[in-house]
Parts: sequence; structure tokens; C-alpha cells
Amino acid sequence: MAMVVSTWRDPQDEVPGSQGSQASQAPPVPGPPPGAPHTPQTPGQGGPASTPAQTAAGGQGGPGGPGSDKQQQQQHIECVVCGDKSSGKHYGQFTCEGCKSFFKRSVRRNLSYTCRANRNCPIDQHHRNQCQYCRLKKCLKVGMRREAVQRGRMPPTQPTHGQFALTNGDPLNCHSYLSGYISLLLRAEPYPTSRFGSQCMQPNNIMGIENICELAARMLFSAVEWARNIPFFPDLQITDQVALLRLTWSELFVLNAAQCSMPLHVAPLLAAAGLHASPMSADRVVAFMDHIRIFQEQVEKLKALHVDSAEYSCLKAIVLFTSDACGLSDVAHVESLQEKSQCALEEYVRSQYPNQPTRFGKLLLRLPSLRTVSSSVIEQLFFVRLVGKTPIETLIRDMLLSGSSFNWPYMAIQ
Amino acid sequence: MAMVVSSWRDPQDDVAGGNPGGPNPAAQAARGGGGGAGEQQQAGSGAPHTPQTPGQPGAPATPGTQGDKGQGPPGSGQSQQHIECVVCGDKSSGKHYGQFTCEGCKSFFKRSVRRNLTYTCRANRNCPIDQHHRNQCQYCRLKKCLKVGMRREAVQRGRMPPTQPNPGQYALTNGDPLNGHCYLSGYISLLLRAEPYPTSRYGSQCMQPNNIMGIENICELAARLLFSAVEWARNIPFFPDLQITDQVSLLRLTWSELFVLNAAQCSMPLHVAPLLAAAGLHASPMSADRVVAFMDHIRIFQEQVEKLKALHVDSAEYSCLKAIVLFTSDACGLSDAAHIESLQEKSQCALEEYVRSQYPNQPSRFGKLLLRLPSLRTVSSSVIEQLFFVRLVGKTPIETLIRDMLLSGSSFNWPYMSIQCS
Repeated sequence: MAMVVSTWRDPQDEVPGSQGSQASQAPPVPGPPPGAPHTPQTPGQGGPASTPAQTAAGGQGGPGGPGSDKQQQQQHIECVVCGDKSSGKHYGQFTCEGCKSFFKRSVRRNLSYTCRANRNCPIDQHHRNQCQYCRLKKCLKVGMRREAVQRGRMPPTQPTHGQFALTNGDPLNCHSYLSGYISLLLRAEPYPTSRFGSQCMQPNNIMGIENICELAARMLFSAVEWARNIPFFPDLQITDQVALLRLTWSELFVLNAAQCSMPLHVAPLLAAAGLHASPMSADRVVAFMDHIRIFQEQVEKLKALHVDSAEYSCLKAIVLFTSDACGLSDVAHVESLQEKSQCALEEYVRSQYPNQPTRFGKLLLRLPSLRTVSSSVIEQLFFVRLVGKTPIETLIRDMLLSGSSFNWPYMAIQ
Repeated sequence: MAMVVSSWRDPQDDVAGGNPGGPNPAAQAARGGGGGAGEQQQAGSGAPHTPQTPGQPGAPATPGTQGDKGQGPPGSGQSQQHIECVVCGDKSSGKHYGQFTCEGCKSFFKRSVRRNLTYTCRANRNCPIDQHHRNQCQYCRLKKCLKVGMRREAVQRGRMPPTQPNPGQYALTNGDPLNGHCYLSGYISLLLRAEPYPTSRYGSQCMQPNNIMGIENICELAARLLFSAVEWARNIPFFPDLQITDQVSLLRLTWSELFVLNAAQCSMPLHVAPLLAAAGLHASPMSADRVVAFMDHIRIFQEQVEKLKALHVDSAEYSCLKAIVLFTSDACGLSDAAHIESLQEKSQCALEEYVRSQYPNQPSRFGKLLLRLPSLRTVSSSVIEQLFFVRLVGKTPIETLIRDMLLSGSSFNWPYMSIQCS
């Protein structure tokens, strides 16, 4: 007598084919006997039956031995991740219930972990919980497939611009799509950093005054354009959008200047040219040069931190969503957006720079200093030559309303 | 033939007190009557002095146990060799820090005490601690260590125990900021100790029974707030070691931010600010535009205080925020900007570690606190000066007052009004 025991499969693994899933569910209903191969209890019931058979086979002699061993071996398949007893195939591989649930949670919530050691921790039955980073890495390495994981009872629809639902309540709920939020922030950049780079880094690294002003105009435009394309900002009232940008444009400008490594050694030259055009008193000249030094210092400090693109985008969102702007129609909403942005930055920094535990705090502490840079000095330094006496606030409003069709009052930017 | 196996004790446990060593030879002597005197004497003399001794008598015990299954004494001996760790149930290697524990929990407890580490529980602070799950939650593991009786004071501090820190004599460790972890909570304690007035005293000053405060009282409170900011800076770690010129430079730049933090900390009543403004404006008329701008700045000041109060910042958090504000490399003419930056980094590390351990249910609290600091720079220092200090000191610049406070200390007298600060 030989018993056939089929390996139980996780129903979720069948989901990619909906018809197959329904077919597999139908047989258990009619009757227990024909449904035996499909119910998870079968291996348990088969156990006692196989035991006497095995005993009888052993008593009789050699012929039955190999068969019994083979059957017994099939029932104790190891988890390919940690070596624990596998309950069947899950997400493409034989895994135990623990690793199955761990992988599902990690994929559904889009979690990212940090390894405190050297990213080669041993993953076995007794140590699999010590390092989630290495456990997830091993899950992927042995072939578990992210796409096989269902997203949940209500899979989120693909987000489109202008239609973002902000979850209320515990900011921990934001964890499931914070990395998606950062992706959208990065995608909103009008110019890739490489394009800024090609503009800035001429072969001879010499840049004329006109080129500097054009670059500055491009940076201001890109700050406004970026804001128009990031999540949540376009949903605000126009008056709130204008108020936020009017307050924060100079801080965004400094962040952009640091991001594209704007050459700053020409700033004094610019200042001299500007001063020559509109003479000032000696005291005002000294104050003006001090402000230029502050501007240069802040850019240098940001560059010294080696901030990457994702960090810059989060910092800019934190700067933009400030409830300090006057006359906001919904202050609490703007505050929640800032909190969301700082949560995204923190989560990103924790996972990408595990060896720098103070990096998140250091990045946030750059923001008070940004407010030290005088917006009127930046205006005088880079924009008066371009637009004369037109206030920057007016330009910002026009950029916001016109979008890519905006034309500078005195110079067209391609 | 009967064999006696004594349980091995950790040498560090003997360091705590000489008495525990006493009973061991007595117990062994008592057992000596039952068997060969010579052999037992050798075992007794070796056990207390060398950690390797327990291994040697342990091996011969195994065949004896197998040979005599029915005998009682071998059974008791066997149970003595497999004492459980009272924390996680693993095999205990003896008593450590007052209890029978395994090597894992012994090392974990030692590390936690030596580095003065604080942990955060992600669950409900009742995680199961057993051999297989003891590493999942360090908070609950340390809690259980203490609950079952492991003693912090039994842990030696290390090969070079740190001397008691004195104000003005602090060695800042260079290199990895993680090295700072071992005394960050001590750093916060020193920041708190440097406060000239306890918060409760502020409270009694602010909260009059009828909650009505006159203009004169408000200005006196403001003077006290400014003085306490300078006095606090003079008493915190590292600041007194800076050059006087750097100290003055830092305080001149940050006094208004420290003032706002102090105003929020003592819940200064702000509804009288417009009244103050009106009184001030009446004394020195301004143009209509300047009045509007002035009132806007007052509103900004009030908003920042309200936002800080809404966060329910506690005393330790306020002290760290003030240190972060004070140690800013944005000040002009600093002799060592990198040193100031390292002090600011140390302060933010202390704040982060404190918030993580004290508010585990608010994962974004640390970021929220730091994001209050850019807004503090929105408050105009000249408006605060006009609002609270012109009446007191006339046209004397605040920067001059700050320098005088810094140099005079508690003997400082206001130019026009004497404040009893003691």
C-alpha cells in the first residue's frame, strides 16, 4: 500500500491566475474524500496512517524501506531562508510561516531595514529575527518574488498628479509609501542634476557674469516648476501656493545652488559689478559683502555634507511646507505635509546611511541657517540685472500661474 | 565513590564583596566528611581562584552519572550543573551581577550599564524574553534583568573608570559621535542643572491667582528670562571653556531665540503683548507702515511660543534645544567653528537619544522639535528688544547688556532697575 501526499500550496500563490484560484477552492466544498489532497489537514491525518505502514514495511524487509523514507522526506522540506520546517511554497520558494509573513509584511509596507553589522548576518531558525535587513536580502537572494505578494485587501490605485489622499492619524501609517513619495519628489525636478552639472562645469570652469545670472534664473524657475509638480502642493489654494513660495524661494534657491555646485567665487565679482551700477554707502557695502559671505558659507556647508538628490528633494519639501507663511487657509494641513516630508527624509537617511546615525539631525540643522541668508541680497546679486526693479514676488506669482510658458520680462529662457 | 562538583562563580561577582567567597570553603569542608579528604581539598583550593577549574572536575562526572543511575547524590549534582538563566531560561554559567544568568544576558546587562544605554520597546513593554527571542527587544530584556534582581552597581565601569566631571573641565571625545553615547544622558543632566530657576518657580511667577499681570511685571519677567539665558549658558558644559569673544559672539546672535524658548518654557502670558506694543508705540510714535510691520512681528513671536507649547516640550528637551541653538557656527568671527559644530552635534545626539527613549510612541517627535528652530529665526530680535527691554534700559543695546551679564555673572545689576535674582 502506498499513500500519495501532495505538497500544500499557499492560496495566495495561486492569485496571479484568478481562474486557477477559483478552481482550487471549489473542490474542498463537495466532500472530504475527494478534497483530501487539497486541505491543509491532510498531512496531519496522513501521519498516523503512514506510521503503521512504515512499521509493517520495516518488519517485512527491504522492499518497502526506500518508499517510506521518500514519503517522510517530502513532509519535512526545509525553509530555504532559515532552515526551519517549510509549510510549502510561498512567493516562489519553499519557506516557513515566519519567513513567509516577514516577506509579505516587508513587501506590502515597502519597508527598508538597516543592518547594524556588515550586511552578512547569519540567517537561521534561531537568529533570523536579529537582522531584518539581511533576512530580507536572503529572501530575495534565494528567489522569493516581490510581485507575487498581494498588496492587501484594497490595493492602492496608481497615484496621479493632483489626486493624492493624505492619510490622517498616526504618521507610522505613512511608512507604506514614503519611498514612493520621495520618488515623486525626485521626478518633479525639471532638470536632472546632470544637466545642471553640464551647465555649471565648463571645461575651463570659467563662467561669465551673464552665464551666472542665466543659471540663477534657471534655478529660480526650476524651484517654482518643481513645486508645481510635487505631490500635494498643486492641491493647495493658489493664494497659499503663492504665500509659501514667496516666503521660501530664497531658501529653495540656496538649496538648488548647493545641489548643482554653483561656482561661488564669482559672487564678489557680481557684487562689484552690481555696486558699480548702483552706488551704495560704505556701511551698506560692508553689510552687503557680509551677506554674500553668509550665502557662500551656507552653500559650502551643504556641499560638505554630500547631500544626495533624494535628501535635497526632502529638504526642499520641508522648507516649502512651512506654516510660517502668512494667511494660510489651512495651517494644520501644511504642517502635516511638512511632517510627512521629514518622516520620509528620516526613513531614507536611516536606511541609506546606517553608518551615520547623526546625519538626519545634521541635515535638519542646516535649515535654520538657510533663514540667515537674506533674500534681498540674492535678489540684488543675481536678478536685478535680469529684471530690473520687478519684484521677485511678482515673478514668482507669474511663474506659478504661467507654468512652462512663462517668459522672463527681459530675457527668454529656453 | 561520590564526586562533589562546585558551581563556578564569575570572578567579577566576588569583586562586589568579600563575603560571598567565605561560604564556599566552608561548604566544601562540610562535604569533605563524606569522602576522600585529599581529593576534595584539592578541588576546594582550586575552584575559587581559577575559572578553568570547573571544567576539569566536570568531565569525570559524566561517566559516574551514567554508571549510577539510581543514586540520589549524582542527580542533585546534575541539576546543579544545569541551572537556568533567570532572565531567558538559557543555561546559566553561574551568578553574575547578583543572579544566575547566561553569558548572553550577562554581557547584555554589562554593556547596557557601562554605556548607560536606554532602549525603546516597539510593542507594549511586555515582550517575552526567552532563549530564542531575547534579542528582539532590548528594552524588555533590560527591564527583566532589573526585575529579577541584577544589580547595576555590581557592574564595573571599565578598565579606566571616568572621573567625576567638573564644570569647566570636560574632555570632548574626538572621532565617531557614537562614542558620545556613554555619557549623553549625563550631558542632559548637566544642562538641566545649569538652569538658574526651576520651572516651578517660573510657574509661580507667571500664574498669578487671577492670571492678570501688569506691564511692569511682564518687563521684569522678560528681564529675568534674558538673564537666565545668559546665566544658563555660563553654567553648561563646554561653553565656559570657549574664548570670551566666542561666548559673546554666540550669545549676541542667539539671545532672542533663547528668549523665545524660555518664554515658551515658562508659559509666559502673551495676551498682553499687544498692550505692551500699544504702550511702547504711544511713547515713541511710528509711521503707520511701521506699526503694521511691528504688529506682524508680535504675531510671529506669539505664534512661535504657541507652537512650542502645543508640542508639550519637557525640560530636558528644552535644554537640548537651547544648546543646539547656542552652539551655532553661524556666528561671526568664531575662533574654532569646527569645535562649535561638534558641540551642536553632541547636543542634537543627546536630544535624539532622549526623545527616542522617552517618547517611543512619537517617532517623528525628534524631527518636529528640530523643525521649530528655523522658525525661531523668523522672530525679530529688535522687536523683542522694543517690546520688553526699551522701557527697562532705554537705548542701551541688548548686546552691551549681554556682554556685561556674561562678564559680571550673578553680580550683574541692570542699568535702571535692580533685579533680585536670588
